[in-house]
Amino acid sequence: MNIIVHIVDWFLNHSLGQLIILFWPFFFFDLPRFVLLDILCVPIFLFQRWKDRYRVRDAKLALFREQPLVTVIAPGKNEGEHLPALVESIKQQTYKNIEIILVDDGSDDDTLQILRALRRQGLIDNYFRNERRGGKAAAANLSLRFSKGKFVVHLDADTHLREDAIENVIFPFYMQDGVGAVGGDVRVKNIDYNLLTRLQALEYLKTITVGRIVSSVLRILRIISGAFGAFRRDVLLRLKGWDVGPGLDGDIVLRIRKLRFKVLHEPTAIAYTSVPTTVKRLIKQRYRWSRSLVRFRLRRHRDMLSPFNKNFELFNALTVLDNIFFNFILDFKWIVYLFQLVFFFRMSLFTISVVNYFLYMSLNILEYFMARIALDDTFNRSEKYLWLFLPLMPFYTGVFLRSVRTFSYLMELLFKASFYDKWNPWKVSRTIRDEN
Amino acid sequence: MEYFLIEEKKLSVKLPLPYKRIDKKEIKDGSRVPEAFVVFGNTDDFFEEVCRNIRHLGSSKVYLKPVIFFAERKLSPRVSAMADEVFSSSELDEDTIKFELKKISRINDAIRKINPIEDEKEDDLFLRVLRFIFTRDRRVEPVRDRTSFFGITYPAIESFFSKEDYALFSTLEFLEENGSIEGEFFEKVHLCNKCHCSFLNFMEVCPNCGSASLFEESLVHHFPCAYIGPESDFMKDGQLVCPKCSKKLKGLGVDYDKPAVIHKCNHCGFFTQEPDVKTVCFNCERESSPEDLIAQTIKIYTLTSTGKNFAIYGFESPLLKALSEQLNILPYNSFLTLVQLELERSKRYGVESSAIAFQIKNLNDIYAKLGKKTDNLLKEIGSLINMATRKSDILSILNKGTILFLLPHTPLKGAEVVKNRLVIEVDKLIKENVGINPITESSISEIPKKEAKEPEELVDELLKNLKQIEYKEE
Repeated sequence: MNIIVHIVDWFLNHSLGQLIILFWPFFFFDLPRFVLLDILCVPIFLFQRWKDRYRVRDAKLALFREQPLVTVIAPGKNEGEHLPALVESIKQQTYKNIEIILVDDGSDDDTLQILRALRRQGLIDNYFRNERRGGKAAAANLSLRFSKGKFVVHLDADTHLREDAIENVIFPFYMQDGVGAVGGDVRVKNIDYNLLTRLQALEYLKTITVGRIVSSVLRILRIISGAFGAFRRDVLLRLKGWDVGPGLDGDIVLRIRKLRFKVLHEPTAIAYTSVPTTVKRLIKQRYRWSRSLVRFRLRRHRDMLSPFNKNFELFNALTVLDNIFFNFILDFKWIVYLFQLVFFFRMSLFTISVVNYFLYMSLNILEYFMARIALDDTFNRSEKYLWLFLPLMPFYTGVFLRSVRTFSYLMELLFKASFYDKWNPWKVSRTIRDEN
Repeated sequence: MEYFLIEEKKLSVKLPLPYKRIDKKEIKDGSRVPEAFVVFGNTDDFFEEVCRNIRHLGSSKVYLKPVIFFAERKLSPRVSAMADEVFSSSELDEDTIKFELKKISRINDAIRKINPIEDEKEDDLFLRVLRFIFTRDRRVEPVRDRTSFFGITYPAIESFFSKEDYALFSTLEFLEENGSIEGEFFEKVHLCNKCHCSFLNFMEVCPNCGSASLFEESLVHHFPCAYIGPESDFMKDGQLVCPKCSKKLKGLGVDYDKPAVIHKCNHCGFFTQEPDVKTVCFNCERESSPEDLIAQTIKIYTLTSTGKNFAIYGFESPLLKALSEQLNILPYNSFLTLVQLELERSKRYGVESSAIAFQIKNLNDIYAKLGKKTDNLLKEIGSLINMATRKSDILSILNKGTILFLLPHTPLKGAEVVKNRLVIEVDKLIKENVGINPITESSISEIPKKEAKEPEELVDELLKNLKQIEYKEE
């Protein structure tokens, strides 16, 4: 009770201007980028969906009338145990003209036997195997080389699709011209495993379900998850497939955008994927993801920012800029902010931290309920109870994930750590290093 | 002590043995039994034919007799192994032959140990083969032979079977199953599942269209740009150039590798890394997948002490063995005693009882076809009998395939129903599971109420009246 009285007192003793300066990261950056844009864009998205309801219906009709072949690919190493369930979920799709091509990237478990069995049972159309691991990009490219579909859907092997997922990820190609790729919504399959998976489920709802609706409305969508995304095959063939990762999912989207194709997010196309269940594995995953931002946005695709580039396009530039500014540069703001608090407001450090906690918690609450408003009918029981864990989110995203991200950026900036990543086979990393 | 000489062409040298010249057509059972058969010739076919004729004779006193080949030229290992002794015609000196003929005496001694009923025609193929193995007292060894239908054969016993007869293997399996011989693994041969021929063509075929026209090439993975595709994608003016980044490939292991091979179907264009395998039989042209072929285990067999016993005294009836597990089968003598009692009861109290005889005549054909699986069939027959009869009915087995039933308190009409039901069901079972036409015979007899009859008389009457039932045309 005393604490509350103390905080209220503290507030009354500061003017609004002082408060804004004290909480500048929130008021100047996170509030406008995440809260205001969410409040603006989610209703725009819902309004557009309502307005386009007949166009959606017509696009689906056109899809089912044409019945194009859709190739589903799922490259991976030692993923055999997930494949029967994946194939089962593809077989239960409302859209049926599907070719399934699976690639075993040098597995040393019984994946090959499982693939053989699936092929023998006629459940998959074809499979390929690299006797020696070539990496995720090479495995995806191998599938692409032998695919025949008009569209290629890339899945992770541990993904589980909602029964209308393929239909919903393909129809946007029939709704607008010039769509090169469509990303699906990715939710967490193993929500109820532990606290960590619940927090990741909230994070996915925030960054993918809501975040990508907003990016898509603003036309600055920069990533399609490898777990679930659809591409026009002719576009992929023009690009000759994926380039070496990590971060190949974001990279391919920027390369598609460079060809002036639209990249959309379709929140009704829903896939469920397994997320890391231990802190160690989660750190490893995020360490890999974050390094790709530096490698691809800062290094490889910085040409998209130059107005003197003959292929310059404003929204492409904004896409990269948004990513670099909000995810990279502003990531370091908390170091500055921490210094500011420690050196100038040491006496009020506790109070300011508590207020910051509530501010960021309310931001998380808002984003969770935005997701509920937009897509409540697609929420399962576990997802509906996730709000109980919202109070933990500021610690999870603001402290834990931010620390991992900052460390990762620094490692990539200083040591080009991604070029030594075991995620790629050594032979590939070595060649890439030599070339860079 | 006389030898029978069968010639392909006239023997030009003097045979240092007492012999009688006979034509190959004169090889038959008879009262005159030779010490051994001597075959002189120069073609494999002649030796094989004569040997086969001898081994197909009925009397064990004759078909088991030693066979000696005198050959003008070297015979194939398979044909040589059919004979008990092989001499080249240049070895015809008396001392050598007399020394080698000790083996012939040993075989004849063994034949004398066998206890067949005098002059009885021995038609049990299993017993014939077993007795042959016993009298030769040697291992039955397989020989790989490209002229054999099965690619591998047992020349020593091959003459007991007609050519291309799979019964060669099933007979040995049966003998192993009943403990007469024991086998030691030699190898496995794959046989056509239709005709049992081993001359098979194994082909890699497209899993999509089944065509064998496949083109194989390596997959190439270019590390820097992650492009991966067939080597032909990279070929440009005789050099490997990446189709994605247009860079010339430096060296295998440096900037690219070949992680796998891929097959392209020239017929339908399908790509696969693991073509299906199909086999085509050169004899009957049956196409099948390797897993559908018969994987015949070939063993080297040796006689067991049980086998020796069976060879001398004959087999325990396999029918009796199989049926005893489910039914209460009485020894024949006990059965006769109970028939005697029933005859007395009928006479004294006027009880209406009946008896049935039921015989599967071609049980040997079934063994030859099914081998060790015959036991399962016999057990099925046991179940059918169990269902068709009552607990109070009395059963016995007379010989190999004849089952006798005594049905107390069952009038002739009721017994007729039981008999017909049994015959129809058994016939159907054999036809469906073995794929051959069963030859089952049955008869029925009433236990007489007035006239005096001996139990043996009743059984004789049943056996005399055995006949096949007539199926009504559908």
